[in-house]
Amino acid sequence: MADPALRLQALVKRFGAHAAVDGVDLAVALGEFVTLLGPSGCGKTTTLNLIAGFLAPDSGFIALNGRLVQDLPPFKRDLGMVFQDYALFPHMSVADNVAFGLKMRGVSREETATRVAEALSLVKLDGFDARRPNQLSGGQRQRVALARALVIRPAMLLLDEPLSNLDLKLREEMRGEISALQRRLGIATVFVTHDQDEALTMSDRIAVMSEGRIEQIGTPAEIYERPATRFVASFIGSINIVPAKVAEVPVNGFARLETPAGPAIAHVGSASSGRSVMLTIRPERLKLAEAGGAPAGAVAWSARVVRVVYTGARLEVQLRLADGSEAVAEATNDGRTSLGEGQGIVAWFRPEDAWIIAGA
Amino acid sequence: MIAAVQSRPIVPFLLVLLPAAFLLFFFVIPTAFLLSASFIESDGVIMTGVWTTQNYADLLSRPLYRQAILRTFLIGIAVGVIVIVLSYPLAYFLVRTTSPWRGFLIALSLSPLLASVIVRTYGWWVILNREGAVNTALLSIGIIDQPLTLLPSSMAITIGLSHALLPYGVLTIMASLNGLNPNIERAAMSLGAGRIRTFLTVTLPLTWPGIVGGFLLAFAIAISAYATPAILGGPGTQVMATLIRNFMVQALDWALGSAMGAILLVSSIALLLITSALGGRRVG
Repeated sequence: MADPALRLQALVKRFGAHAAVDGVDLAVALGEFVTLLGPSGCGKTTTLNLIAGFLAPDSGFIALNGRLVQDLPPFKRDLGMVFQDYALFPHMSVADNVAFGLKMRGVSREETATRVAEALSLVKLDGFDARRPNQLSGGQRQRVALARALVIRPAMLLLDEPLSNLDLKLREEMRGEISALQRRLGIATVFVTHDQDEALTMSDRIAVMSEGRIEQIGTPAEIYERPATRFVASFIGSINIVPAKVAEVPVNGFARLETPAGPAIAHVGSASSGRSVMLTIRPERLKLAEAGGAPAGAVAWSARVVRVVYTGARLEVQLRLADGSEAVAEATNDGRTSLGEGQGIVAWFRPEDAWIIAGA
Repeated sequence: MIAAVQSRPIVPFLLVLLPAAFLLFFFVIPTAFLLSASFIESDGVIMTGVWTTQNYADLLSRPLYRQAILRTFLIGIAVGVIVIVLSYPLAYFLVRTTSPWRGFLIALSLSPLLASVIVRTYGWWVILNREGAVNTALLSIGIIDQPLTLLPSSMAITIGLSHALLPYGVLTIMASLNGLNPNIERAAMSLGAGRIRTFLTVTLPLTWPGIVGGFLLAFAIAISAYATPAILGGPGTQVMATLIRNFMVQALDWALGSAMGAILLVSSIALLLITSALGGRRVG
């Protein structure tokens, strides 16, 4: 089997007594787009800086295409990096910025000119050669930074929150462009972000990080629908979390539960053992019905509508369950829903839509 | 345009008035007196009131004066260069270090500013004189068998001034390094530039304004310095500032003193303009 583009093994980086990266293992396949996702301070940027060589790990290994690089300086790692603030060279033209890496590699003048033009055309900046970075918009700087990183044909692309300085509309546009470009070039990419939408829409796989460790790694659907821990469940999207006790030994992957809101059946999920667990259910999987209107086989709890928040395409219905705890259901705004505050209602879900995680 | 200026409220004008008056009475008018005195013929200690350019001709034609002018500028340039060369690595370290002692180290680097220039200069005198620390050390390890005459000399003046002005270089270069985004250097390295090439292609050009600023500051203070050349120099190493004092206080020849002052003023302004134009072009 071919070596992965990147392999991190038992990577540790301490700042004083604090372990910013605390034993990270990760493999990125050739051409794969992997996102490090987590709140600020979770170690994702430190991990990226370790890969790039701006920081030296205290222990562990970093291999690029099977070659151990943890002791190499950044300029010998052959990586293309895009920084959050783009870090363009303000004293050079766009063309000189893009040509910089080729110049350092001793590429001939003619080939440099050709490749710079190609790279600029790749990011749709033909004709911007002579501009200075301070004459460009945020999105254009972003493209120059991409072209500069890609023109050296690096072994791998590292993106450090490259979209966070752009306004919303441009950010969504660049999201699609970076994804398309990455797929077209087939370049293995590590992308760091704290934005779950970016992570879900752009990644082949997401590694959710917390306190220096990878909590869970998987495809966007796995991360969203089968969270391994409470942290992953609540960091991505909104979710209802109900404490529960396992009432019977699980059968066929489903467990019978007792919850304060009523009895339930749910997918055993990532809870391997233990009696005290958490039942999780996404708001869009929690349905609402008139009393007695829940379909057969569904788990139905009685609830009371607290508030209906209108968000356009959807209605966010805040509920109070039988035990007084709160839950949220998301309903499609189909124009036929009439929910009044204080109204008694049935909240129901299918057992396969509820996922159990280990108790807190 | 004029209407807009006139319609402005009066308060800002008043705020400027006081410093402007101060500058006018204590800088512009004395400078004008100085310049006009330099064009008046003097007969020994008496100003005759006749307009002339003879004072300048005298200063520029006599080798003693010409050498002093040249020496002043060479010392100024040498001090500027030494200050930059010494303070750049120090400033770089102080800006980039993550040591918990960083604040203390910065204070330590700037501490020469706290001691009086006279005290510091006599410190160098103690080190460099015939029976001083340098000669004692060199004699005792046998490198020399006769004490060296390190004082008075242009070299001693340059050393003393460089030491005194080092904090100015550190401060201006630190300011420009602080303004440099560290990711820009990281970007250069990730693109394959080694540490030296990163420094030469990115760090140095982007901190060039700080280098020019530090040089100008050190140069301007060095060419007008009086105390250090007076203590570490001697009759054979006169600079413009010590000559001016001699004209004004000993020879009582105000006309020549004024002319020398005017040369110092005009040539340093000219050099400042040239250098800042060079600095400005690089920043672009």
